[in-house]
This record gives sequence, C-alpha cells and structure tokens, in this order.
Amino acid sequence: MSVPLLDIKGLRVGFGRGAYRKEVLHGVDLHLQRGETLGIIGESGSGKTMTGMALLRLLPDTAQVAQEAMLFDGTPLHELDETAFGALRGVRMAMIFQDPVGSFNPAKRIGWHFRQVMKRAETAAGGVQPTGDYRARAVALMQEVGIRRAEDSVDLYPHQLSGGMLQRALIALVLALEPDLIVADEPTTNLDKVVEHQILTLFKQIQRRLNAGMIFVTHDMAVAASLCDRIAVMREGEVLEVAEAQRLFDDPQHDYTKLLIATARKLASPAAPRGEPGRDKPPLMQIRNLSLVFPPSGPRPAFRALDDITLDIRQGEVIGLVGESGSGKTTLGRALLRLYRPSGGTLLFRGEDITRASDRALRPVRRELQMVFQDPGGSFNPRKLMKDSLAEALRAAGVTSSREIAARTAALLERVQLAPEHGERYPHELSGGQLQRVAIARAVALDPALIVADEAVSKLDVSVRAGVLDLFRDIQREKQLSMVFITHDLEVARYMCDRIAVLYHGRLLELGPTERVFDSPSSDYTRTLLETLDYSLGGRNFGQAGYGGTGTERAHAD
Amino acid sequence: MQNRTGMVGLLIVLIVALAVLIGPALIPYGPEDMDFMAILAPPSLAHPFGTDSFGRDVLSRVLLGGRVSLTISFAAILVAAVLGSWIGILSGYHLGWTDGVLMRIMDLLFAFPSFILAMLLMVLFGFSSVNIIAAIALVYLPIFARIARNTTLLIREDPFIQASRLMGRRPSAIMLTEILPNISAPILVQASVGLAFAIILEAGLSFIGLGVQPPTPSLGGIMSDGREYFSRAPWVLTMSGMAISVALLGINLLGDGLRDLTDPKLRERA
Repeated sequence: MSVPLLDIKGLRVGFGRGAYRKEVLHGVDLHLQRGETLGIIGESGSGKTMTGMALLRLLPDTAQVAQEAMLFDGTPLHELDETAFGALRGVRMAMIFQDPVGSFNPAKRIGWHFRQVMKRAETAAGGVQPTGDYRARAVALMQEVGIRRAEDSVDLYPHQLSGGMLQRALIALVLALEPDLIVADEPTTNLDKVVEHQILTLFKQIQRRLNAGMIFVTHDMAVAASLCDRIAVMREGEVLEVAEAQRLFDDPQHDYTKLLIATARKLASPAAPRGEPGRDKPPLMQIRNLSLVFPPSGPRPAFRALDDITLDIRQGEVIGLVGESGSGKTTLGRALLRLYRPSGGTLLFRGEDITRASDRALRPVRRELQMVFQDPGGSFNPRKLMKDSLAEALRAAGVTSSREIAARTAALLERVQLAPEHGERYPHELSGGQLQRVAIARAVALDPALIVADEAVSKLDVSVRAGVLDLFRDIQREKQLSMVFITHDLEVARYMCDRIAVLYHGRLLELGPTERVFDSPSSDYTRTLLETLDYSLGGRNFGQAGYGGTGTERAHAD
Repeated sequence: MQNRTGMVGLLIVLIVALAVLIGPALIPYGPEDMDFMAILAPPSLAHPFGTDSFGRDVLSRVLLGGRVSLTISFAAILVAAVLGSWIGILSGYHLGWTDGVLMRIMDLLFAFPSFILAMLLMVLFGFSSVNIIAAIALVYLPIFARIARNTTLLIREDPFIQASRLMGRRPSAIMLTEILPNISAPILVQASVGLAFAIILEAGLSFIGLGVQPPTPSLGGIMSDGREYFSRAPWVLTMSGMAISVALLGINLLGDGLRDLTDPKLRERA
C-alpha cells in the first residue's frame, strides 16, 4: 500500500490551562488515501469540526494542539513553520465551510475571488507567473460546476447569488486550486434538500476528477452513507470506530453507532397510518384563500409570502407543512397563530373569524394556539429559570395558587421526561433536546387546541431527535390536540404526520394523506422533492446511492 | 476577574464617591467660611488646594461642589435612563404610529446641540436644581430611547417573546419581564458613559452661570471663579479642573469595563 495522503496519530486539542484546562480531542487517529472520501460523523460537541480545523491550523491561538504524528503526503505538518504551512494551506489543502456566504468577501465580486486563488496557486507552484486570463478560466470553472449564466455571475457580488450557487462557486474555487486534500465541513447543511442533492453529486464528480482525498464532516447519516468510502464515528472527542461505509451500516460495532443507525432507520420508516383523524368532526381551523404580502421596505419590493391558501386543520390531526426555505411554510404557521396579520382571505378558529381581530381581542384565544420554535436556545428568556418560564405559562392559563403552580411545574417536567432539578437551571445550562422538551411542556401547560411546531427538531442532534418526536406524538395523542408540523425534512414529515401539505413559492401545491403524497405525488415539484429521499437510508439503495458506485468498489478501485 | 480597566475605574469612582460624601465632614473649614488672612493663599498643609479670593478653602469647596455636581448629574442620568428606556421599549415593541410619533420627538431633541438645548431650557425654566436635572435629563433622553428601541427591535422577534405573546400576556407585562431584563446591559453601559457627559454638561452650565447659583458651590462655578484670577492664583482653576478629570476618568474606565463585560462578542472569546 502506498504512503497515505494523510496520516494523523494521537491528535489532542485542549483549551485553557491548569485546573481550567479542558481537552476536546483525546487522541484522534485517522488516515486517508488519495482519491478516498472519509466521512466524519458525530453530533455537536463531538469534535468533528475541531479535527478538521486542527489539521488546517485554523484553531484560535488559545488552543493547544499536540500530536504523535501528522503526516501530509509524507511531510510532517507539525514541524512546518507558519510560512511553510501557509504555502500548503489553501493551495494543496482546501477547506469548504458550512456557510458559503461567510466564505466570500462581501465587498468583492465573485471574479476577484477566483483571481486571488489562481494567483496564489501559481505563486505557490513556484513557476513564472503566466499572464493567465483569470476571467475566462473562472467562467469555465463556474460552468463546470453548473452555475447558470457564468459570464454574468462572475461580475456579481456574493449577496446577489443564492446559497446553493455560492456553494457551487466555492467548489469551483477549490477546483481552481486543484488541491490534494479537501476538508468539507457540513457543506450542505444550510442548503435545501433539492440543492443539497445536486451539490453532493458535484462533490463526488470533482473529487474523482482531482483524485484528491476528501474529509467530509457531517451530522447526517444519510449523506455520509451515500458519499463516503469510509466513515469515522466521533463522540466526545474520540473516534469510536472507523469502517468502510457499507460495513459500518451493515455491522456497526460500537453501541453508539448502533444507536445512530437505529435512529436514522426509525425515522426512515413511516408511521403506521391511522386513517384520517378528525375527518368527520367540524374542522378546528379553516383557512380560506389566505394571502399575506410583506410590504416593500427600502429597496426591497413587496413580497407575496402566501398566495391563496385554502386548507382545513382537523381536530386531533398532525398536518405537515413541507417545502424548501422561502416556500412560505413558516409564514403560514405564524399566520395561523395570528403572529402576522393576513392581507387577504379568512381565518376561522372554531368557526370564529380571527383574520383581523386586534391583539387585545385575540388575547383570550391566544392560549389555545401555541408554538414550539426551531431554535431551542432562543425559546426561553435567558434570564429566567426554567421553572419560572413554566410558572409564567401556568399563570397565563389561569392557575393562581403558588402551591398548585409548583406541583403542576413538577408534573410537567416529569411528563416530558425531565427531572425536577432541570427546573432550577437557566436555558444555557440545558442541552438543545432538553430545552425542546421544556418548550413542549410550556406549550402543553396552556392546554392548547393547536400546536404549531416550526422545524422543532431540525437543530437537534440525531440521537435525541427521535425522542423529541416521539414525545410530540405521545402528547398529541394524549391530549387529542391538533398539530401543524413545519419541516423541510421529508423523513420527519413522514414519521409524524397524518396529512401533508406541500408549499412552493407561497402556494399550496399538494395536499393529501401522507401515504398518498409519498406514493403517488400529483405535482412535479413534489416528485423532485421526493427524489432527494433516494439517497437516504429509507430508500432501497441504502448506503449505495448513485454517486458513482458503492463505497467498497471505490476504495478498491484506487 | 480579568477586567482590570473596569476594576481600576470602579476603585476611582468609589474613592471619589467616598470623598464627596464624607470628605466635607472631615475638613475643619466649611465651604463658605472666609478667612481674610489667607486670601488666594497657595496650597499648603492647612489648605491643600489653596484658597480663593474670599479666603475660602478650595478643597472644601471642591468636595462639596463635587457632591452637588455628581448628585445632579446622577439624578439626571437616572431620569433619562428610566424614561428613555420606557419610551424606547414602547417604540420598538409596538412600532407603527407609536414608534413614529415617539421617535420623531426624540429626533427633534437630538437635532439641537446638547449644550444649546440645555442653555435654552435653563433660561426658559429658571435655575433651580430640579430644573437643571430636568434639562440634562432631556438632553440625554433620546440617546437612551434609541438604544432601548434598537435593542428591543433585535429581540422582539425572538421565540421567547413570541411565546410570551402566544400566552396571551399583556404587552406591558411582556415589556417589563421579558424585554427589559434582556436589554438592560447596554442601557447600563450607556448610563455610565452618559454620567461622564452629564457631569461635563452640568459643569459647563454652572461655568457660564446658568447652572447651580452661588453661593452653593459646584465644580463649574468654582472653575468660573478661578478663571478670573488664574494668573495670580492658578490653583483654584487647576485643582477644581483636576477633580472633574479624575471623576470623569474613573467613570469612563468603569463604563469601558462594563461594556467589555456585557459585550457578548468579547465574552465568548474569554
């Protein structure tokens, strides 16, 4: 076997000193061959990002990095000084970050970035500086990664391109470098499903073309399964196991890996359909021709966020709103709760028109319409103890005696499977999953008829996601309340919902029972959206989706 | 605590506060006791800051004048901060016409140079201490209103505020229990910086005779007296001016420290 492109042994990273020293990586061993893709998967705090950053020396000065060996193409990286390292980084080693917007200088045109990178690559190659036509090469590269109207785009500023296009431009920049090693840190996490699908395909193509080694950091099992040759599972700063992708999924060794895979598989399996609850009862909420236009502000023209939406929310059902970002699903959810005032149409709650009710008139109704937010950290007043936040909800629901409030707070915490001491903590002292449980408890404390859950699990780690979803479902069944589940994640939607509404550019494209929408979608857009599921764990081609053969084949081919 | 600037500032402010509060009681001369044997006497052991043209002890007058000036400035900033935060939160939370009306009034106040505005108010309403406080408060009101409004705008769409609205709580309760505690840090910082400016403004008003009226001592008034015979007795102006500088230095350092302490960007790095 040839010398590995990258060989890391015993990588340790710590912060602080003395008694405050905290080690975040406890001896990581990894190696990577040319042309191979190594996936690093783990949850937040597992050290997966830290590993890539330490490799490229991108950690802040306060970090203490130690290693037994860190060889790049046979060169010991840790012995290089800053100048020598700088000549490698960004030339032979490239990094792609999660946030494409932050990777570009907002004051410079796209073309400028290409020129910088190309100059750098040429200088580093040591050759005489050829008077290359940067612009033409940039355009060619951008066309190669599928940027539409590349000749025009090269003269645009970063904010004029969408996130997906920017991520493509970033990949084109990496192509311009022709690096030997690419470190990609959650490069598709901020993108819509359909775009993510395209970008992943592109990754596979360019990596093959450059014959580079790639480290792909992700929290998404499905993405890792479809893209990587080998996968390293990390938790709490340690590599638990490394195996070829197929083998990892077929025969996971570590309990934690088993848990991750079981969770992913569980979400991939549709819930047992339970008919259409509430079909024969009067609907809880009737939405008729609802539209919402955000007025123009400054240079921005008016924006029609919701367009002629007609929908019933039945009693005791879970209805999913799915669509990409900008489709209006969150706006619709908020309009239902009258956090926005609709521009047209009517909104009937229990037959009563609340379309234009004033804030004061709404106050008695508010309690019945609750929401669980995407960002668990922002859902609570940072200066209040959790039990005080719950107590406030109880008081708003009309509970007055302090003894009863204390008893009900304890009961609520228990109901969401938390201990009483969680009530004595501040929001920043709880994990995302725990916070989301308290958020559910707070919503339930008000005894609502409808809960709108806005991407309520998308910021949670994979292993706690299923638990929170199950809690949602149990409470929904228990209280017989209606639930609007807003999500971009089709698997979550399938797992949770009785009916699915597909939104696209503020319009309702499709509405039907979950099975029907998944099995025989009636619109082309839904079909495109569903195709993105193919590379996921739920599809038949689990772990071997169509990005140029299975992981095992690729590893042997090199 | 890493914040050395803030600690030094706090120390200076504490010393100044102690000096003006209990200092006058420790000095054998009252601020209005005249000693005609020692007119314009240079600093000595008996009179560490010297005496003025009436033979009054300058140290005693500076300490008592400092007490008057600091009390007035502190009260003015307190009024400005409380009222300004209230206006700002109201504006930022309700937006719409409430915001339009309140903020245009604030713009109007902001449009005047602060010193001119304060002079105008003093001339219009007379020279009592309460009026000085009101004039200075009015000058600083729009600053607090804007800070409160901007920080309210930043958090008004936060989930925890929305959750509070969805509970059907009253807007006033939301503003008081959800918004105010979360925007108090920048207001506190601005208050400490504003206090320094208020002291300068009060000294300026007294200096030109539109502030605290003699014989009550004030730092501006003492400096104004000292200016008249600066060539013969430079210590009167110098010592009172230094007293102001020390107080300002302490307050500004404290303000810097508070800002560093409450700036989340800096805190993350620590």
